[in-house]
Amino acid sequence: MKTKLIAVIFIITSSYFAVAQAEYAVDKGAVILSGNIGFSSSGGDLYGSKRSNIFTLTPSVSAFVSKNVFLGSALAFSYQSQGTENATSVQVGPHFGYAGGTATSTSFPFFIVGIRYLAERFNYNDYFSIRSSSRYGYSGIIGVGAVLTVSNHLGMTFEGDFNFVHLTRKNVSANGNIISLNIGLCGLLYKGPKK
Amino acid sequence: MKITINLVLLFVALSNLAMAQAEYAVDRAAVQITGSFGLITKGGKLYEEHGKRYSGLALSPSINCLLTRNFFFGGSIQYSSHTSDENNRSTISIGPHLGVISGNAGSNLFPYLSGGLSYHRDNISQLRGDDDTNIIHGTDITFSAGAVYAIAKHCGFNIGIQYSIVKLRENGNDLPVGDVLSFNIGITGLLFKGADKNTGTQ
Repeated sequence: MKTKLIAVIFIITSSYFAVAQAEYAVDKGAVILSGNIGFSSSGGDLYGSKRSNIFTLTPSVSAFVSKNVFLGSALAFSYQSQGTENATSVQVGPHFGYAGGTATSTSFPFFIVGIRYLAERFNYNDYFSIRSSSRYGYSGIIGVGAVLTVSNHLGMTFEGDFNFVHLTRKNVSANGNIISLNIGLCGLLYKGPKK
Repeated sequence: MKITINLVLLFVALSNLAMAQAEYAVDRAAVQITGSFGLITKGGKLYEEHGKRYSGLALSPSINCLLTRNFFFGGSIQYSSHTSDENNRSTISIGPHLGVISGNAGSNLFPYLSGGLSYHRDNISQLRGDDDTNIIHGTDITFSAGAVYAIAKHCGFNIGIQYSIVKLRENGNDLPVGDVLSFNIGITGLLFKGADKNTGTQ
């Protein structure tokens, strides 16, 4: 967990140094930042005798290593608990892609390919004790979409992804697939044109 | 669902008209937007029950319009729907809020306080067996505090804490009161025209 946190801080810090060179949103050194941190705790008689807590962390950063070509990573962490029962899920991994567009563009179509390490752990009560169950695996992601600039440093992302998921629990493996469509806001970090 | 989409379009159209006058992020007619839309469908042996895919939809737009400098009025919608082999559950929470946000043309940090009231409705439909639909509805009263930190001219991080009191009814009977405490960090759009060059305002 500590390593992942250091990796996220390193990516964010290094992105600040990189953006100083970039003249537009998909120029070398530009950075696209998105994600969310959320914590929610529900209590009172409506939600049961014990409070229900949910924590989620979903940062994603993509840095342009040359014009139009980006490399990045994403983390999706969630923790849910109620009483002594809890569930933890982690997805982390790198991605790369190509985003079209130039200094005058207001929309940047892109494609993205990535791989994620997945881990899930559940602690639950049976009648006599607390039991644990874990499963591990990976997912491969292929996505297409576009970033539309709302203003200078703010974009709206439209992205469709196909995920192939492989998970193993106690030497038993199963495959699944996830199709997702997402629209959200992202930060477009770059210095701007040279004067 | 159609009403929800129309409201989102109305919010976006109004925000485009309004922000044309604003010179900075908390000036009169400036607009702050946040939110996301997500659609997911899961299948394969790993996720399917009785050969049926799981699907979910989530939508959470929110908009604040500055009525005068530092005072805002806004609205938000939170809609989610989950369908599995056994049931379909959809939840909507929609309502207005009112608040105060400090800062001026030279600020990067804009602390705020707000309060709001939302209509809340849960529909739970059983897809197997007796085709039963259960409707729970009521109100959420929400208080929020936090700050928007501008990382670029029109883009900021919203760091906020919310406390909601939830009062619901089911089949005409009051359910016990609940409360939700939440903390959130996300990206916010700061929409304003910019400084008026004739007046030299920054």
